[in-house]
Amino acid sequence: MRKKKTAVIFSLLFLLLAGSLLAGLLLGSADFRPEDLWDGLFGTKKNPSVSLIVLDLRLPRVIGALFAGGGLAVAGLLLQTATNNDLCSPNVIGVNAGAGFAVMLLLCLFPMAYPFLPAAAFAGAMCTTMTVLGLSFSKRQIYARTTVILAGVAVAALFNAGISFLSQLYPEALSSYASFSAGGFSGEDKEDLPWPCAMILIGILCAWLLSSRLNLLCLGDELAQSLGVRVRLVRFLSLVLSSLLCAAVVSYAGLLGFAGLIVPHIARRLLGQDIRILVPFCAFAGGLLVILSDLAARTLFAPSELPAGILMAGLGAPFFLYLLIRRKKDGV
Amino acid sequence: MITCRNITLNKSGKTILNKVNFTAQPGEITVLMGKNGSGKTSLLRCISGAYPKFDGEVLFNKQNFSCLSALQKSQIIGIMPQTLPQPAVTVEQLVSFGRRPYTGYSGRLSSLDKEKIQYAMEKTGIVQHQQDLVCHLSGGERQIAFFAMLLAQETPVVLLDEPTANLDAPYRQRVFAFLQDLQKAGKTVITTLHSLEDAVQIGSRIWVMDNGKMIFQGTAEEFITGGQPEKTFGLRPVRVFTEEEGSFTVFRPL
Repeated sequence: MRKKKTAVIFSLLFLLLAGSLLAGLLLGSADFRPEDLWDGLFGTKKNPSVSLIVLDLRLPRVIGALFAGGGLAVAGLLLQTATNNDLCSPNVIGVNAGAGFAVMLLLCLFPMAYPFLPAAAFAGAMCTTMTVLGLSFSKRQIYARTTVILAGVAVAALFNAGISFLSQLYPEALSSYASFSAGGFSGEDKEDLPWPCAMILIGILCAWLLSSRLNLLCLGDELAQSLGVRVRLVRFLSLVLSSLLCAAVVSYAGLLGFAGLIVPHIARRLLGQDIRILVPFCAFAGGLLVILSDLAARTLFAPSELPAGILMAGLGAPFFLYLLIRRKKDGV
Repeated sequence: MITCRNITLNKSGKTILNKVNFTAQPGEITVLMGKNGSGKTSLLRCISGAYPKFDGEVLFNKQNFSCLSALQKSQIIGIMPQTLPQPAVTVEQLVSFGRRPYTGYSGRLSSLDKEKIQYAMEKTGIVQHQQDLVCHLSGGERQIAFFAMLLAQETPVVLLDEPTANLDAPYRQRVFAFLQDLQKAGKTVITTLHSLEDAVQIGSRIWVMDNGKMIFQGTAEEFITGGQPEKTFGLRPVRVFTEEEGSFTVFRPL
């Protein structure tokens, strides 16, 4: 019965994903019909403008959104499982603040160094999360759940203060930083994608390999350990993988938020708690959510477009409040 | 057979366990007793490996436990902590976690694993709840579900910390029946209990701890007649006979 339900949900997800991928390629400031797309790309009436719009502009966006959503959703799932806190999301361990600070610093010190923004964002995100993990390390309780979250909040507050400070000193860097912090896929270059996407793919595969052990963390450290799980190692690996996934996404998509919060929740509601099933679901459903957000961001007010990150925040913030209210009702 | 030699545990400059020595035999239920804070739970945690750093040795059939991997240990010792979690997984999933030490990296269950899971659920009588979430079960049902997981784990040594705390009389009797089944199956069972009546009812051997030291090891009879209840717990044993239940011992304040 449960297997049948899982199969139906995954089939629906793949159908929706295929539809959204196609819509992502067809819709925008200039809409195409499917046959125009086929003819323009492969048929007898090859059209260079179709090829330019679809292959050079929309395909990188759609692929970027697919991987970004998948990466963030799996990162959120890993974090929520490792910290046993369903309100946890990648922002909480300071990824966005760290990446944002590194980008702001680069823009202030080397205003012409645009090509290095993705590298700076990645380095900032990784350094911050490693600092958070370092602060959470204690001999008695390694990577304790609350300590990781509190250290993340403290470090994020510090970096946000740093960003505000830099923006006072270098107001000219603020406009470039604003587009990065809003998050989105406008002007996504296909040259920027291979490395982050490869990293995201590897991260998701590693998360899936870890999933049978992660399943047991819901029993608490003592019981999980008695069932052969090296709890500290699994928790450490989850946090590192989560940081890696987020850093890879931030490096090309900017500070997208909330996919890591919303998708794991929906996944748990639909499919239960088995992380082995939740990892692939989150990978595809996260991609679907971000593709649809990006599609809405560029079609709702076409020909002008909103950053996808703003739409995601518009969806995510009410969802976060809904979770808080539900927890209050459940007495959690 | 589990042997502990000179187990000493210090935490924050305080001695929690002080040179504890014992051997627990297979086919016996060893009941560990003592006042709150006497070191019972810490001793169980040292045996199970939850506390990695302590002085002394834990041996399983003369094999040093510290030389074994976490996975190897999980095939030898199964535990039931005092406070059970309330995970949002089904009872069937929970019991399947008991097979984790045998499923390899992928966590894929073989047909043999599935048979053992089904057997554990039937044996403990939790099978009718197999699709219910553990977090929605009552305290007693949850305890039984965790017993089923422990049964599916099939370890020769079973450690239980207050398995009957907060349970009503029928559930307590069910838990004791499971312990006796484990005993008959030749497993080494070590459990902490607070109730002296329960301890002398089911314990093959009774150990008493005080201030981190093992102050008594003997049979239930030796425990009753040796003056331990009076000395350590301030209780005196009273032999009671009823036609329904026969002869048993209760403990009354001095």
